[in-house]
Amino acid sequence: MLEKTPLRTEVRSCEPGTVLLVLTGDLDYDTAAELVAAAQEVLGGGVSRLDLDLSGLDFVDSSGLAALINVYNVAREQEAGLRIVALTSYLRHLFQVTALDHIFELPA
Amino acid sequence: MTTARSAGQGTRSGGGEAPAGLHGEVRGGSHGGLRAGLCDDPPDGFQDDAARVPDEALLRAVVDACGEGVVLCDAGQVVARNAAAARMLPAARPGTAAASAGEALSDPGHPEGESREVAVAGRRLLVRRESFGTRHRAWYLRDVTAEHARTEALLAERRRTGFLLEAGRRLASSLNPRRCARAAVELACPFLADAAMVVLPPAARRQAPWLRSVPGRPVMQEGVIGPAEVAQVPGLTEALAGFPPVPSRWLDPAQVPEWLLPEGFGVAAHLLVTPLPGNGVPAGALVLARGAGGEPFDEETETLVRVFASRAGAAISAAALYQEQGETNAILTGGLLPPRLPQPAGAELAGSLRAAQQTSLVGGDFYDVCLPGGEAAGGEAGGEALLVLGDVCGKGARAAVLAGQVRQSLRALLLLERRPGRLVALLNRCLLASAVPNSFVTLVLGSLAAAAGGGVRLELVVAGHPPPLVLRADGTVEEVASRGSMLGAMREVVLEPVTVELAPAEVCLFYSDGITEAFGGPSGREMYGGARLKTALAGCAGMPASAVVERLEQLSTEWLAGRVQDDRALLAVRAKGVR
Repeated sequence: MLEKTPLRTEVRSCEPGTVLLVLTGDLDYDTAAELVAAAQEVLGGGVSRLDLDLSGLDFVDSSGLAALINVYNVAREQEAGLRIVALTSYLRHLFQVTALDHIFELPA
Repeated sequence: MTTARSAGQGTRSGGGEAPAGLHGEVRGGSHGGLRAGLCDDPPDGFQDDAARVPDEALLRAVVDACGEGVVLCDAGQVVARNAAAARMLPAARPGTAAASAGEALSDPGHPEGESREVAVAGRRLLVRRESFGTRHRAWYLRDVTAEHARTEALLAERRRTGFLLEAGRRLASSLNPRRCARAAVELACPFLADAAMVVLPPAARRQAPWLRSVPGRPVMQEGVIGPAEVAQVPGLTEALAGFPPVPSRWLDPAQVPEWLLPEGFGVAAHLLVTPLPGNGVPAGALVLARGAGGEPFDEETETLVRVFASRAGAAISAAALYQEQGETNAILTGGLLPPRLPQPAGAELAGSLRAAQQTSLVGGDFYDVCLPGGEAAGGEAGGEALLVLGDVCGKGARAAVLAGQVRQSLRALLLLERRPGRLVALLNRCLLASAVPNSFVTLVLGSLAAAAGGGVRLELVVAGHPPPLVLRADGTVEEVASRGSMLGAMREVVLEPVTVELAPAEVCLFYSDGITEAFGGPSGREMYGGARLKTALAGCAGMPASAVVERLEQLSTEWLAGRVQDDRALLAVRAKGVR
């Protein structure tokens, strides 16, 4: 991990009222705030559902998980739905270890 | 002359311009003769040599117009001099002995044709002697007073620059206020003054510490002075209060108290007191004294001292701030450092904590062990010891503070609740109520009790953390089958308390994800992973707990090969054999 991959967030709108955020790179201590800022901006625009595509994330640390929880809380405040539509097996394991699979809606 | 002419002919250039140039330089000379004798371009190159000899008046005019002084002596008597020589060396009048003009016209032993520099009545002269025949000597004088002054100014400027560079280098080399003050004193004396003293701002009981040096004595003198003594030194009270410095001539050296100067210094002839400006607050004052016979502090020196004082002040002030913060840090981190592990009944414990930010020594990983009835009871009273290893969100000091809060909260909650599952749920509610944003924590918490038939029983709760590993007596390694929510995120937590029995010599290992998610290895990009950790732990069968932790920590460090990115924590519990 000498060369860190920066986090990239891409916003896509598929259907009215729904926004898809595609994350790639590292979601960690250095980049966690970027995700929260991006999600706040999207949710502030009054969408009814936010979908997260996490399949492009190489690495997520505890700060990254904290950022995802923050996004979840922001979505709840805005009464918007939050779904994780894609993720890697490493992330699924991480969600299971932290029992976050109980609160996040994960794809089958 | 012949050579010059043939050269001129050879190049065939500027023949028409040369006379005009010479005309301009000669004042009061015989133009006709000059033209005839020196400058007419010979039309054919066969002009008669006799026509070229200039008359005496012309020669005199040429010599008089020369910027260089010329004094001609005949057997030690001055016989002629030009206007420039009369200006530079008025004493060398024709008819007087050359020696009476002093050093300028007397240089026994100095080689002919070589210049030497002589100081005459406030001028600097460059003097050269040439002999003509056995009797005549000519002295050539050049006034280099202005050049000399410029050179001297340049050298002085260079010395000042060099001094400031050296000052910058030495002052920056320490983060200890006393050593900075000492460097300032050593720099100031003897370059700036015969005696130098730095007085630091008054500290405890309004006593101001001071340092003093005397040239020729290696030992630095130190002491403290009270407000009464400070008031005795002209300008010192003001300087210590940070008022701008006053010129040295305004300070009366006669008022200098005896104690200010080193023993045997005599009276101070000149005094300069300069404040050391710090970061917002004065960092002290610099007292400089020159003894009897010393030059007064001129304006340039006073400017230099002010520049020097600002550097010294900044260094001392930064060092004082650093020391203060260091002391505060030591107090704060003292409570955040890993605890000394007590040894509960029936088990031996060992832990290791490596912060990613080595300089801070603290990080977001933590472990703690609480014995029943507190440390004083020594754990021998029976009951259950509580073990916890966790990881708070974030890095560095901020994470360390949260980790400290979690440890403290657990100790407080432990007074009310000892069942691991309920304890962790309570901790979750504490974290949700915390004012610190992102108070997310993952941890493993276990309550340890000696089992009836030897060995120990661990009741474990895993909250969003990698589950512990168990090293069995036969060398196999199992992962504890339990998981649960990370804490501080949700109001409701899901936990699956589980009980693990350890037979004598079996080990249960708590670890943080900094161990398994360490990127390194041969490629530098490979994750250490749970499988490698299990294999490494299997290789530790039969080792005491401290050796297990040491071995795993060493393997992890080797894997990282210096590329430390995350805090790493290990805590091992080993069941003791039956005695």
